[in-house]
Amino acid sequence: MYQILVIAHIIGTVLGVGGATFAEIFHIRAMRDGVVTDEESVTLKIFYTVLRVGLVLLVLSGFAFLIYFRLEGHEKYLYNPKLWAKMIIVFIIPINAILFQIKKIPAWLATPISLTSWYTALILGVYRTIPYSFVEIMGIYLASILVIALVLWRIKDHYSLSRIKS
Amino acid sequence: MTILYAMLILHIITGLIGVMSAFSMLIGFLRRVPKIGALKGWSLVSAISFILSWISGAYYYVLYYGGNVKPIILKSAYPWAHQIVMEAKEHVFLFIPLVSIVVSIGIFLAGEDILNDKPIKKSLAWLTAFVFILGVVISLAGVGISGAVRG
Amino acid sequence: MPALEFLALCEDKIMNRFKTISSISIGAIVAVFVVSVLVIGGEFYAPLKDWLKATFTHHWLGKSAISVMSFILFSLIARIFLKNESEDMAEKLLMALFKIAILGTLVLSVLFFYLFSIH
Repeated sequence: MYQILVIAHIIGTVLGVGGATFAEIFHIRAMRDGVVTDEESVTLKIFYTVLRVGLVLLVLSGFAFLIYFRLEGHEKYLYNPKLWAKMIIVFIIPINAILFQIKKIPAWLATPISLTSWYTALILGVYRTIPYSFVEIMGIYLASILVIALVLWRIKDHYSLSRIKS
Repeated sequence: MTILYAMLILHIITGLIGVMSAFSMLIGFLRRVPKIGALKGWSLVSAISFILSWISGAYYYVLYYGGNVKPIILKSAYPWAHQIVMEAKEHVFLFIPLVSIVVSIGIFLAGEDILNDKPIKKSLAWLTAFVFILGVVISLAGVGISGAVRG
Repeated sequence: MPALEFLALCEDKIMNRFKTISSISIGAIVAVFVVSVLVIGGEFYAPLKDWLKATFTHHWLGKSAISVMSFILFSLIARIFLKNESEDMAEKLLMALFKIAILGTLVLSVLFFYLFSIH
C-alpha cells in the first residue's frame, strides 16, 4: 500500500513539475514574436491540464500518506515542519493560479511562484529530514521566488534581444 | 480495516474531492466564457462530496472520536488541537455543505446569467471561494488534530 | 441530474428562479445564524448543550440536524412569502450569505480561542 502511495505521489509531482516547467518554456518560446497563436494557446492549455492532474494526484496521494501515518501510529510525522511547509506551498499553487486569473498578481510574479512552489515541493519530498524550522524553510522558499523571478526575467530579456537582432 | 477507519478515510477523501471540485468551479467562474455544463457538474460533485464527508465524519466523530481520540489529545502536549482546532472545525464545517448546495442550485438556475456575466455570477464565485478556502483550512486543521493523537 | 434540470426548466418558465435562489440564500443565512447561536449558547449555557445531547444523542448531531431543518424550513417559508423575484435581490442575498458565513466562521473560531485561553 505504501509503495502504491509513493508511486502515485511521484507521478503527481512529475506531472506537476514537468507541466509547470514545459508550460513556462513553451510560453517563453511562444512570446518570442510577442503573440501567442491559437495553436500555441492549445498546447499551453494541455500543459496546464497536465499540471492540474498532477496537483490532484499529489494532493490525494499526499493526504493518503497522512491517513496512513495516522492509522499506523506514526502521528508524530504530522507535526513535521517540513511537511507543513510542503502543504502550505502546495496550497499556494492553486491560490497563485486564481490570483493570476483575476489579475491580482502580474505574470512576472505568478510564474516564478508556480515554478518555485513545484520545485520546492519536489525537493522537500526528496529529503526525509531537513535541519530547518518551518519559518526557515518558508524564508528560503520566498527568497527562491525572487531568484527565479530574476532568472526568468533574464531569460525572457535574452530571447527578446535575440528576436530584435534577428 | 474497520468500519470506523473506513469512515474516517471516506470523510477525508470526499472532503478533499469537495474542495478540489470547488477549486475547479472557481477556475470555471473566472474563465472569459464559463462552461456552464462543467460548472454544473463540478457543483454537484462538490455538494455531494461534502454531504458524504459530513455523514461519514459524523459516524466517526459520534461513535469513536469523543470516547477514544479526544481523551488522548487532551492528555497530550497539544490539548489545543481539540479545544480550539477540533471544536472550531466541527462547527464551522456545518456551513460548507449548505453553502455548496446554494451554489449548486444557483448555478443550475442562473446558468444564462452566469454566461452573460451578470452580477449573480460574482456572488456565486465569492461563495465558491469561501467553500474552497474554508475547505482547505479545515483539511489542514484535520492534519493538525490527527498529529496530536499521541499517547 | 434530471431532477435539477427539470426544476430549472419549470423555474425558467414561470420566472421564479431568482425567487428560488433568494429563498435558499435566506434559508442558508438563517441556518448559519442558528448554528452560531447554538454553538455560542451551548458553551455559555450548559442546559442548552444538555438538551441537544438528550434530544439528539449528541450535541453536534443536534446542531447538524437543526441546521438542516432551519435551512429547509426557512427556504420554504421564504419561497412562499417572498414577493420580490428580481435578480438584484438574489445577488444581494447571495452576497449577504457570503458575508454572514465568513462572520460566523470568524466568530466561532475566536470563541474557541477565547474559551481555551480562559481555562
